[in-house]
Amino acid sequence: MATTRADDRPRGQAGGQAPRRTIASRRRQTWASRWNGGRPDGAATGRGAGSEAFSYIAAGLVAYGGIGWLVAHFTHIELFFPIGMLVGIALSLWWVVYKNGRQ
Amino acid sequence: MTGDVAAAAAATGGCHLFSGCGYPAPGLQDFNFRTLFSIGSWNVTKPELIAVLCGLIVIVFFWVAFAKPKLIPGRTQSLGEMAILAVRDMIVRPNLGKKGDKYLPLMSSLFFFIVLMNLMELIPVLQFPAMSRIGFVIPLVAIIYVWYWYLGFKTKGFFGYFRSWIPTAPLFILPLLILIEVAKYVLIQPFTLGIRLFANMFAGHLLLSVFMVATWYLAGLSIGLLYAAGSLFMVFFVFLLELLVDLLQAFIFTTLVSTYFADSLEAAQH
Repeated sequence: MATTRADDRPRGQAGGQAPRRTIASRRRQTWASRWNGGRPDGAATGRGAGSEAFSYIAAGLVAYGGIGWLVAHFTHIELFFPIGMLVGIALSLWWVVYKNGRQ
Repeated sequence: MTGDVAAAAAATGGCHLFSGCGYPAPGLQDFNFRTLFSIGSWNVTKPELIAVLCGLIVIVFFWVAFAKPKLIPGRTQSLGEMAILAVRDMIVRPNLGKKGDKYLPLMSSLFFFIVLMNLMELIPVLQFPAMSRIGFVIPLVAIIYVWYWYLGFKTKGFFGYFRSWIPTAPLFILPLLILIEVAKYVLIQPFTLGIRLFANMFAGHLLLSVFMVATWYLAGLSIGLLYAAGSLFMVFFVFLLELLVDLLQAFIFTTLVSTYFADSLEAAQH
């Protein structure tokens, strides 16, 4: 069942009519929210928030550092390894800020 | 240390400043123990005995506290209730809510076992935190890892659990983030959970050993006595620091376990 935010529903609509979906509301519905079991929007709360942020950064470093290492291994261009790590850190930092910045 | 004399002096405890031997720095060798006795082919060492002792203390204490519970609790039962309620109110309920009470036996066992294992660092004669050997940390992490995956599968279904890893993010960046989410759940969470506990205990024990050995090494009828006094002060300071770290690391480990469980159970609570 798709989940939409409360402000996607147009205001002042008469009862009994299906809510009119605008282009703006379709854009705000993300791909993941169309799936069952998709995680709801929202920042991390509670004591796990700091650890979650660290886990994301470490995961980005490991995942994209690993890809960078593989590329470096096959292309023999060692620079891909640190570039991969930096890309991973940047991506995960962006994700942490984006995720926790939404309320 | 150089020379046979210095080595012999150090071995007999006579290695001091200005006695011809260098500072016998603690190191990795202090985390390896000789076999105390053998049971068949199983060689029992000090860390293993400490782990068994801690396990027995936790089991016996809670058994004695709750074997015959009374409406008006006695001293042991009161203490046991305080311990369980502390874990429930500070760790389980904030992360899992009332539905997390069924995991209270696991959480309280985990917390008190880790606390005791860590506090063994500060008890004379024992003076070794068993969690500073990664072999004791890995099984705990493995149990938690298997358990929170099982809870995820049970709550959300096999494919549903993997689908729940998909973050709510703009479509253009989603494929890049999925890899990060997979790495986080599969690798990073269990790894950091274990390494955090292990590294803190390892470093703390090493630090305490450095200052304790330095106090003994510097002690003597010379200017070294002044340095030994300074080192002794550091021993007290690091002792208090380690007391805090021991409790904190057990709390952090158990809190993160409850957080991971809450994440696995998320759909069931909506």
